[in-house]
Amino acid sequence: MTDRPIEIKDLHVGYKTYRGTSKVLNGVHLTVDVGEKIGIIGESGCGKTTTMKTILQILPTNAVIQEGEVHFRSKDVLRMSKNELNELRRKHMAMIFQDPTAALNPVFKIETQLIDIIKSSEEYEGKKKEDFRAKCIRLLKEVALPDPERVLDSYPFQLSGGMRQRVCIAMALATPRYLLIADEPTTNLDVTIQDQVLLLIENIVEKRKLSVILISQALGAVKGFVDKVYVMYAGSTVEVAETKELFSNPLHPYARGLLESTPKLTGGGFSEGIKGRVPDYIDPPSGCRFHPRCNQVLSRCEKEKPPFIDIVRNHGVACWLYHKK
Amino acid sequence: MEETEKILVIENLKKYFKTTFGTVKAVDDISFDVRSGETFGLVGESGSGKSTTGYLTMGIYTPTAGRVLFKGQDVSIHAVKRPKHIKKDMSIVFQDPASSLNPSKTIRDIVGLPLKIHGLVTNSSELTERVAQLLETVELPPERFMHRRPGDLGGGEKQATAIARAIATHPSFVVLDEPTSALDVSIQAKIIKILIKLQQELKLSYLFITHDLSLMRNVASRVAIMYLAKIYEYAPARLFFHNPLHPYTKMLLSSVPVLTDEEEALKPKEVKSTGEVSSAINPPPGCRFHPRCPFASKICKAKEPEFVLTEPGHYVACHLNTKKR
Repeated sequence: MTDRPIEIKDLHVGYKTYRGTSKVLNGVHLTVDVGEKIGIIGESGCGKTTTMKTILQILPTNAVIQEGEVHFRSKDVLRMSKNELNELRRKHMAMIFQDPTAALNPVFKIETQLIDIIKSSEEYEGKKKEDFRAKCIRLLKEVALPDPERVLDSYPFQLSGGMRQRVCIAMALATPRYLLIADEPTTNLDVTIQDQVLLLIENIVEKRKLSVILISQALGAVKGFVDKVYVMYAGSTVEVAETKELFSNPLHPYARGLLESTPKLTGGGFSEGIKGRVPDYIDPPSGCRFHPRCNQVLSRCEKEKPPFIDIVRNHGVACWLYHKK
Repeated sequence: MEETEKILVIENLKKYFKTTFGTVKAVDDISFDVRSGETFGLVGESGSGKSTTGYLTMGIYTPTAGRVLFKGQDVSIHAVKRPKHIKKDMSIVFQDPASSLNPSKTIRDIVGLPLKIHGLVTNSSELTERVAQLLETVELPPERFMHRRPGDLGGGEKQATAIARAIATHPSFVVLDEPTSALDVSIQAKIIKILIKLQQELKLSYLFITHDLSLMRNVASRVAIMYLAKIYEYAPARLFFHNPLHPYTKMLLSSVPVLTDEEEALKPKEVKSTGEVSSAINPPPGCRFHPRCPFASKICKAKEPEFVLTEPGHYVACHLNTKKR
C-alpha cells in the first residue's frame, strides 16, 4: 500500500480508426508522490493529454487500453467501477484544460456552472442557495478574481481569457483533492497573464498540499514550477530527472533538441531544431520511435526499443547511447 | 539614415472599428519605419493592435487616418485598389497555416497561384518547375509535396508552404504575422532558420509580429512595443532588451519564462506582472498603461506621454523619462 496519488506502469493506449489502430501510448511510466509537482514536456501529439485522459478515464470511446497499470493510492483505476470512478473524479482529482473557452459552457452563467461542481462533490441536503453562492465567492477570491459577484453573474463570453482560466482553476479547486492536472493551462494566455496564473496555481497548490502534473510546451514555465520533469516522445517516457538536473544535463537526444530549439532571451541565434515531425501512430517507426529524427542514431535503434534505465540517481533515460555493452 | 533606405514608412496610422458596443480603436496614431533588409519587430499582448498594423500595411484594412508609404509611394488604400506591381512586391505569412491554405487545393496550386496572377510563368511545365524551386528553398522535397493537399501536412510543413507562396513573386517586403506561434519549438527553430536564410538570399525586409520576446531577441534588428493600440517604446533590439525603459516593456520582459541563469539576470526585477489589458473601447485616459503601472502618478492619468529620444535610436513615451530631462 502506498499513498502515491498516481503510479503508471508501462501504459499502452491506442485509438481505433478506419485506417487501423493508432498506437499512441507506447510505454508510459509516471509516478507522482504526495505533494510532488511534476512536469511533462514534449511536442504536440506526443501522448501527454492521452495519458492524462487515461488517468481520469475520460478517453474517447474509440480508445483501447492495451496494456499497463494506472494506480491511484494503490487502487487500480483501470478496474474501477463506474461509481468508484465518479468518486475519483469528483473528490480526488481535477483537471484544468488548455482552452478555458471550450471548457466552460457558453449558455450558463458562471454561478450555475460552479454550483454544479460543488453540488456534485458535497452533501448538499439542507444547504441553501446562499451557502453555495458564498462558497463560490470564496473560491473566486482564492483565484484572485476581482469583483467575484459580477463574475458569478456573467456568462463566459463576458470574461477575458485570463479571467476564464481563473474560473476554470476555481472549478478545479472546488473540492478537496489529491491531484491537480494542469494541461497547458497558460498556452492560450498572454505572457504577463501566464506569469500571474502560474503563480496563482503554485500558491494554491502549496497551501492545499496537492500533487500536480503540469503539461506545458513552455519549457521556461515548467522549469520555474515543478520538482521533476518527464520528457515524452511519441507515446513513451524517454527521460526523467529532477528539474535542475534535466535542464542543465539533458541526456536523451530528443530532450537536448527541445532545449536547444527554445529561443533565448539573451539572443545568440538558433539551433537546427529537430528534423521531421512526430510520427504517424498507425505505422510507427520500429525500435526507438525517435530514430528517424535522431542525429546520433545507432544501428540497433532501428531494431530494438531501448529500455528505461537509471543513469544516475533519479535521472533515467531510454536511449541506446547510454547503454553499456 | 537616408530616406531611400526606408522601405516602409507608417505615419500617424489609425484604424477604428465600429461595433455595437462602441468604437474600438485598434490602432491609434502610430508611426514607425522599416529599413531595407532589416527585420522590424512588433511585440505586444493580444489585442494590442499588432496584427491590425500588419493588415493595414498589406491593405487588408483601409486606414481610418494616417499613411502607409511603401518605397516612397502612398499605399494607404485597400489592397484591391493597389497597383499590381505593389502587390507583387509585398506579401504576408499568416499566423495559422491551417486556415490560410485552401484545403481543397494541392500545394502546387497554392504556391503557383501568385505566379499565375502576376504572369511570371507562361505554361504549366514552367509553373511546375518554378513551384519545385520554391519548395526546395523552404526545404520541402518537391517530389513528395507538390501534389499533396494541406490536410496531409504537419504544421511546420504547412507554414513552409505559406512561406513559399509568400516569396513566389520575389517580393522585397514580407509581413510575418506570428509565423511560428502555432508551431512546436522544435519546428519553430527550423522555420525561423528558413526565414533568416531567405532574408539573406533574397534581400527581404521583414515586419515581424510576435508576442514571444525570446524569439524576437533572436530575429529582430529593431523592436517596437505596442500596448492598447499605441507604440510606447522602440529601440534597436540590443538596447530594447538590455536597457528597457518603459514600465510595460519591463513587465513583459519580467514575465518571460526562461531556462538559463544568464536569461534570468537579464529580466528586470522591479516590475511584477499585475492586472489585465484594459478595454480597447474605453481606453484609460493619459498613458494607457497607467492602471497597471507601479510608477503611475497624477500626470500619467491626465496627459499622454510624448516620445523622447534617450539614446541613439531609442525612443520611449513615458512620463518617467520626460521628467528627468
